Amino acid sequence: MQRISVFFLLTFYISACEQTVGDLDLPDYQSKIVIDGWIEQGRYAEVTLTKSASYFADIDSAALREALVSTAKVSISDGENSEVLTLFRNSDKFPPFYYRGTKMRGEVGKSYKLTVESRGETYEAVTSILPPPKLDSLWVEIDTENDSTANLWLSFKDEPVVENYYRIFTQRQGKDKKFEAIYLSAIGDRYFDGENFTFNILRNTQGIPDSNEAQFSIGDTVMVRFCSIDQAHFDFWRTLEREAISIGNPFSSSGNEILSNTGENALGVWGGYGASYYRIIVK
Amino acid sequence: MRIFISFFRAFLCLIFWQTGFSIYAQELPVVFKIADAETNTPLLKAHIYIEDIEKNLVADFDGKAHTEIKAGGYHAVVKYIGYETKYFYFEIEKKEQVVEIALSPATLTIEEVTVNAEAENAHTHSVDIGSTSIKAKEIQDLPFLMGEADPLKSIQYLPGVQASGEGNGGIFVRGGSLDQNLILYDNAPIYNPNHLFGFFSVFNVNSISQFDIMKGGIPAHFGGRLSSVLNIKSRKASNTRKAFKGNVGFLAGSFAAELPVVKNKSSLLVSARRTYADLILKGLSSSIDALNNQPDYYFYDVNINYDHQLSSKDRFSFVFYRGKDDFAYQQGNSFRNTIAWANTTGAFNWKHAFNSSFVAEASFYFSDYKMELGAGINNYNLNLNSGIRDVGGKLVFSLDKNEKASTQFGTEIISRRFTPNNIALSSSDTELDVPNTATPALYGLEVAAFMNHKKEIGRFLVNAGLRVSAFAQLGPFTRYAGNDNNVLLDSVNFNKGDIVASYSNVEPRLAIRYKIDEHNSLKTSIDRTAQYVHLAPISSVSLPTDIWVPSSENIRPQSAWQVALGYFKTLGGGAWETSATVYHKLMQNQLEYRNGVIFGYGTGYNFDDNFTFGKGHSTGLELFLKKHEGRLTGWLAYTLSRTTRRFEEIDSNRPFPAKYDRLHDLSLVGNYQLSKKWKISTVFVLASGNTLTLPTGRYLIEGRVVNDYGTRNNFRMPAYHRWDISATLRAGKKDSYSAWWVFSIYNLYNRQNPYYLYFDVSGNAEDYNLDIEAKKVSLFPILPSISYRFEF
Repeated sequence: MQRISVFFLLTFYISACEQTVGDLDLPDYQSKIVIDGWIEQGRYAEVTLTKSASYFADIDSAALREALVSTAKVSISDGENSEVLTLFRNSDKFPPFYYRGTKMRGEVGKSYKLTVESRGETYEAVTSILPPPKLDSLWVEIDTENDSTANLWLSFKDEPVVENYYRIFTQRQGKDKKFEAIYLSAIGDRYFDGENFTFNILRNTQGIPDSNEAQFSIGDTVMVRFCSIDQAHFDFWRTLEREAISIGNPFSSSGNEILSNTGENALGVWGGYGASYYRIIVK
Repeated sequence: MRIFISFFRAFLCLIFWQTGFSIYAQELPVVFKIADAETNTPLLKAHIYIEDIEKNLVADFDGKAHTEIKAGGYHAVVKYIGYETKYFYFEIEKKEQVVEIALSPATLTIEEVTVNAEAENAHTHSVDIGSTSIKAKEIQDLPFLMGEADPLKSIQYLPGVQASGEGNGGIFVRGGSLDQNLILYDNAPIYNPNHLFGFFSVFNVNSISQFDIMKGGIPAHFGGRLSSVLNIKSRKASNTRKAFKGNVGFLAGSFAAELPVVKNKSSLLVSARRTYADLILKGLSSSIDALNNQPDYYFYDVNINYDHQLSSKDRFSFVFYRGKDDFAYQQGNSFRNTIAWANTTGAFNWKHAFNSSFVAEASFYFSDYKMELGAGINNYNLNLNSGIRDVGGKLVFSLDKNEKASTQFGTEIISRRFTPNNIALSSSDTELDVPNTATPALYGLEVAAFMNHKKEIGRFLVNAGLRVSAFAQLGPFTRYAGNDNNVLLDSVNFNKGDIVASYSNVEPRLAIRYKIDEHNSLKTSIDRTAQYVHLAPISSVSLPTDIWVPSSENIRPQSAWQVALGYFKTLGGGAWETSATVYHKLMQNQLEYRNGVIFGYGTGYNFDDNFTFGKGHSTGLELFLKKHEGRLTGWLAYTLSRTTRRFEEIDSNRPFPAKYDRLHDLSLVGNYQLSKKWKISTVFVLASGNTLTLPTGRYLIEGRVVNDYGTRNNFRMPAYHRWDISATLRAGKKDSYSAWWVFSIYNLYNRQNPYYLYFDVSGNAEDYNLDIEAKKVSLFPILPSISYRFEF
């Protein structure tokens, strides 16, 4: 119901003019390391390291390259085994460098500790891979107003009592290069514990997804990645997604900080996924 | 979000037209002579109140009062302690008329009208260090937004009182937050005094007679909020003559009827206000497509005041208020947003005089505030209700030993019912179960006993008081206990009437005035105040979505110590008043939401699990200069202050500026009587900007730009300044029918004052192309308006 709470936050807008502000007094900013890492059952760990920049600093290719971190030592351990991740290059995406495992694959039920050593500092984070969740059903409903688009619906039964957190991604074959998180992808079972939960999958687009952009087109083949995540991992995405929507909203409370699980001196997340994959053709 | 903005703005700019006016005419000098009927001794300091023009006079040491009023017939009341109050009628036909009034001694008199003694040096003589009294007539002249004379707005122009900004009519008094002001309408509390997000307040100037704002040196019979008491007295209709008043503007209209019920004994005042722009738009939208997606908004309010003088010893009155705001916005079938709030209050007041120096006043009141919010997007719907209901009684005894000493004592009891957040959620047709956020009603009981003694000793006037207050949260209630992983372990049930948590506070109050001489004085006050209700602030900009919660096991009562010292001076024979006051306030148990808490998605099972507590600290200097005689009148108020907060859980216990911390706050108000028919009024305000928490850094996660926030309230918005002007024209007068035209312009030089700021990100990191701009949202541009006011 974080989804709904967020919609609540989207509510009304009193008015009026919007203008660009010329000069604001900007406080100094200390750059921090950003850890964007994940591990899934059956797959190698993947970690991207960057540095944060001052909000108003120029963005150009030089500045963005400065934000890369490619000389760190990144390792994972499950308590018994450990591995130092290897630096890979992928020009298709930004940042073009990332660290990936080559020996240890994720296993359900295990806890993984991530250690990053960079420029004399060490950062640590812990996550776990929970059992993958199961969908009850996944179906298509053609949009009554528009012939060429459709809504994708998902229903699953939540495990009672235990706190469950989920994250959902979709990938349209031929259109999306990788799995994209859906709009408000992180869901907690606070409001439907032990019950069936049904909802409409909206793709993540700029602004409010009430346009056709957030839907799927007839003829798409869509892969759905439905994952279980632990609470710290959920808190990160919950606060990140809420912050992305709150910006510009007078409704949002001042406490917009994103809750990282990577320690005090680093930003970002180290998260484990217990993933289930499903495929559906939109027709 | 941005797509919805322009609609409402066009709507506002298109339809706002309204104002108010005032009158002036040739006035003749008159002398009233008041003397004892038997001995012919002049009665010094006798009070005269001329009903028809709401004028207060105080006789000087010769028992004479001088004034200037226009020719005509008038009803007046003369009072003096120890004498029978006299009602009389007099007519003024020529200059220098002398009206002689003889009063007979009596043992039974009663205060039926709160007479405000504007003696020449009342400003320095009174012990009021933090109070200001304003009469309804005084505010009628000022140019307000849309020309609607508004008590709450006029208070914002006083030193030490800061407006919370456009879009909200709340006030911050000496560094206190919005919930720290007790707003009373004839003893009944009002929780949300705003219409249209602060455009207008709920107080219809036709139904109020005067209001006092106390921000320091608060007498012991007031309590329950830390920072101020705004005591609004309803207007009593004349019990001899009928009167009708109205105001017509394009946006809203009001009408009031004052009727005597039993001649010379009782009267009834009924007034109502409503917007009608919504009805006009609805009618138009059927033919004009562009109006289809406009927001729909209306408000109304109704006041009923009944006053009855039972005998010379007893008087009672009954007031009732009901007002509602309703806003709805719908776009197709995919997006809807509604917000509505309403206040309903009623009070019954009984005054009984045992003798001329011993009076008792009993009040019974109720106040009901409800707020409803609805949002829907595609198939999700959310509805949220929140409310607070008070039922209470107060008994105050006043004993006047003699001219130099008086005592008040009494008690107050309030039963409260809170419905903090009742959320109903549904996804398509499925009703979703929200057990932890649908908070059942919470109950509380607040009691207080107080005593106040005022005594004049030589050059000192001392007002010492003590208020002892207590609060209990009562059942039915269930307290849940969860572990760190938020698994429910246990719950404790309380039955109806059980005490769940209780607190008490001793609140000493002291105010001392030292008279240096007739025109100069030094005043000081020390107040301790306690508060058992809290407004949980969910938005960074105040909107009527904030919820009221009681003190409880986890929420301790707020309390404050305030010390103030001021120097007061009158000049020019009373024509000018000036003062300079410094204050220092320390507040405990201030409330904020924990970081990362979404409204309705907290981390605990109990309603009070998501708050964090800390201290507030405010200090300031208030300068005030007022001219109240002559063709040009007005005042200048300047406050220099600093307000910070300090919470263990926020910014590692380092102090951060309060949201409304404003270093400078300046208000300049002026009224000029241009000619017999024309009067010009103007207001200029200048204030430092509010603070905001904005990101200071950014980083990438999964290719998306994410914000890194620095410390709380790390940004300051640009300064706020605005100039308003209005001109009142007295239209012709026929028999008893009078009319005025008011032309006003709000925000004369069209400054786009920032309502709040945010950073707009566009572009794509992958393409090495990101554009970040600081955007500011402003509410009210230049808004001219015209309105017509009439009386008969």
